[in-house]
Amino acid sequence: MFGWEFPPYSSGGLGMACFGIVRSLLRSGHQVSLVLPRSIGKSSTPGFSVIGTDVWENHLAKEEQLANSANLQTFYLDADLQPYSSVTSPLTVSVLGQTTLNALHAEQDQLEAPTSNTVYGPDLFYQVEKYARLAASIAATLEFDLIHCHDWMTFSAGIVAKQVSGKPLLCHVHATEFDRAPGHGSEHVSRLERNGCEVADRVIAVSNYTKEILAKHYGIIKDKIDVVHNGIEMQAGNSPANPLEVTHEDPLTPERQNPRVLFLGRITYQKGPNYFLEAAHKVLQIRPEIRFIIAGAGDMLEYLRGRSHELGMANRVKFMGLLSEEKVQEVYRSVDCFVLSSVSEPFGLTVLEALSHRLPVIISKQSGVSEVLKHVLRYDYWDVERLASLILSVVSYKPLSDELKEHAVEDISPITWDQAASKITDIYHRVCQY
Amino acid sequence: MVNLCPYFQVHQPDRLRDYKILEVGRSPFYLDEVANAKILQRIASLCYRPMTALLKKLIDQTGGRFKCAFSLTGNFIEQCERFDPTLLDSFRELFQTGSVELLAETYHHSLAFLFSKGEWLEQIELHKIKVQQTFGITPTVFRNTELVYADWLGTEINALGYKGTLCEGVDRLLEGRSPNNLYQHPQEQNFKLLLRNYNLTDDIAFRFTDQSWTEWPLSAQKYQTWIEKSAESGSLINLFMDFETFGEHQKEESGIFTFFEELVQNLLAEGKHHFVTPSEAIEKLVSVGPYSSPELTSWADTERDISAWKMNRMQEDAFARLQKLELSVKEIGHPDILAVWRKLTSSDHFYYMSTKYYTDGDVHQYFSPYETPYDAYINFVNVVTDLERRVEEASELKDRADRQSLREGKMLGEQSAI
Repeated sequence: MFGWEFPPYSSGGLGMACFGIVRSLLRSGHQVSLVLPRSIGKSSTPGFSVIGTDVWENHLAKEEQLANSANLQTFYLDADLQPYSSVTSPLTVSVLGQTTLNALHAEQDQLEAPTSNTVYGPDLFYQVEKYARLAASIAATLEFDLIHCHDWMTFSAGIVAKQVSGKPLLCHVHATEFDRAPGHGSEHVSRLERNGCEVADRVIAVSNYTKEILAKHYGIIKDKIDVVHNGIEMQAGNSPANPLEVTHEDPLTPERQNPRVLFLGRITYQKGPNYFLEAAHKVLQIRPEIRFIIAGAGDMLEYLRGRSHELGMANRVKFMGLLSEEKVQEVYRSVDCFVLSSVSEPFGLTVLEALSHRLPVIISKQSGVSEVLKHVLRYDYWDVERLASLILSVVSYKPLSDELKEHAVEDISPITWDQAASKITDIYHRVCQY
Repeated sequence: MVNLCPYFQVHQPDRLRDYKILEVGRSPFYLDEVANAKILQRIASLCYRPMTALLKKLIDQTGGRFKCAFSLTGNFIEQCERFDPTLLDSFRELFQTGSVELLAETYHHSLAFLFSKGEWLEQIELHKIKVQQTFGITPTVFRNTELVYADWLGTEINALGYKGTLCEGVDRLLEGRSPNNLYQHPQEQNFKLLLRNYNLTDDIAFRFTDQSWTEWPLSAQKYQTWIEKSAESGSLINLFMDFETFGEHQKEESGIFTFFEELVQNLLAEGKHHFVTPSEAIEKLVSVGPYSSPELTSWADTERDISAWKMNRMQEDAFARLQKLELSVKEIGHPDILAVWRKLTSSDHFYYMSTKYYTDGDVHQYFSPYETPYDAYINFVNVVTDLERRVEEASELKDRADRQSLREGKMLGEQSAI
């Protein structure tokens, strides 16, 4: 499996998705070799190995034997992640990507501590090329049944690996350039995305929404694309017995009585934080006591701060910057409403997280997650007035927010990573029969 | 021999427009008249006109031996007056044949009895006046909104002078008895009950176009054998359904019109079977005994209770808000405010808010103009909130005016005393 992000080197949903998929694939008995652009530590878990291309490169330089896996960095997974016996015969998947230390509890023989958390540096295209070059020797060394790669950064590597090994290639699309920068994205990235989808034996899209984009913008035939929605792992702490009697602790401000509305995501055009802010402005004209929280970092942050001042609401909008995983959970627990304001969202994992905290959620219709949820409020991303109305309704009408909270878990309980992995397993078996 | 008693409910809700919370206090216009007009006209051409014409034809062909009953809500009659006045003529022609009975119900297709018996009685009276004015008919048999019924409601309806009512034949209350007989209220022995045969009704109303149904496609011949089989347990078969079944829920292409036409012709061809109106059934047949419904029952969903309209917090809140407004709405005596408040009592608004089965996607959504039950609630409460403000303002004005006239009256009194 070829991946780019993997916790802790994650900047968003891609790393979380890779992690969720790999864990559930291992549970169902598959063997996964995950290739990431950067190594994370050394350990080993049955069925799972992680290869950092940076380390691989060192090996090549030293002209050591490629197959000497003792020098490869590997991970131990939790004991409770032992592969389950699988009804279908397990396959070995080659994945290239990057990995989460804290989540996987890699503890042994850490070779080098990560020096920075940057997944997308200024030399990204160079990194991507280097990664693809190294994929050839990795593919020639490892034994596997098929190649599964995640997003454009890894597609060239996947194509090379397919050429070297002759094994089937699956390109998994978590996001497209049309989501990230509608109408003015990088042509180079678009080309890599289209090329990957064209060469792949099958394409996996995270939603019908994304499938439509691939068909419309890249001319990929729809029959070639399978939709596998992302999932969520419910944590025991997230599902209180009675959601309506939860007392919220407050990490933010003492004025708890003020209802709070949360935006959490990259502060970029794709995520629509500007629409969120304009809606906040409309809301505050009616209910000035409401507070808005914007969590995340990105290139629109300064603009948003400025705009917030300009609209005279700087004291009512709190910018929290990038948050640690722990802090994120805390923030979810301390707000009354979650908004996904994306202009174009292939899936939207944060919505599932918010629902797992039994939060009323408002989501833009231009999102993949919208396809799998019923007990949410929806609007078109540009309809600031409707967004403002929905926020006001959620905080003003208690019977509404109570009903939404009650049904939140009902909505997400069938949306699991195991469910996603089982669909992916079906696709694996199909491509291996080609 | 079978006595077949078909009854058709005709109703169109007054749908609310998209009323944003930001508009509260700014706009007193609540209805989506464009949608209301469009939907009425669409269903008029799909169902109301072709089906009333077919019924008229069948009555003429059979020399009046084909009979049926109707009930038209006040909302529907008003919508016809607003958007399509000649549509009422189609119904008027049917009523003039003498083979069609018109039943009484609440003016606003409401469940007002759930929060105010007084309002419920007023709406029954308003409906009675409206059908007298529109069709010159005074109904003698009652049907409550969504066939909601309970013993205590029967007692009330009996006290209003009606001979009987339609209700659902609920298995758990029938306890093995057949719905195909005339029953009576357990205490009010002269008050008769006609029980819907939901199996035979749903074969037409729900399953007719269901291609996964083992009996699909349903022919008039096959259905007739079911009727005859069912009639072994009793001679009165009550088929109570939405009139929109014909041409709207079941489209013309499904063959629903031809099916119905053939069914009526076949049943009457041999002279064995009869069609009856509810009044005739009550006069002609002998009650086989009491049917008691201690709880509220209805013809909706599989539960046959009122949970489709009053179960979740949003529905409870919506009822509570209307109830709270009733007294002041009536005190201020502003006809516009009273009229709009009454429109909000229509059961449809509450049905749209139902989260029952919503996860699976179901019949509730088919009827709803909203994307989700949550949107239905938000819109409704936005409107009610605006209405609350208007009522408050009007009450203040009225108080001031009352005080003023009291003062003037006093001065006048003082003057005359001098």
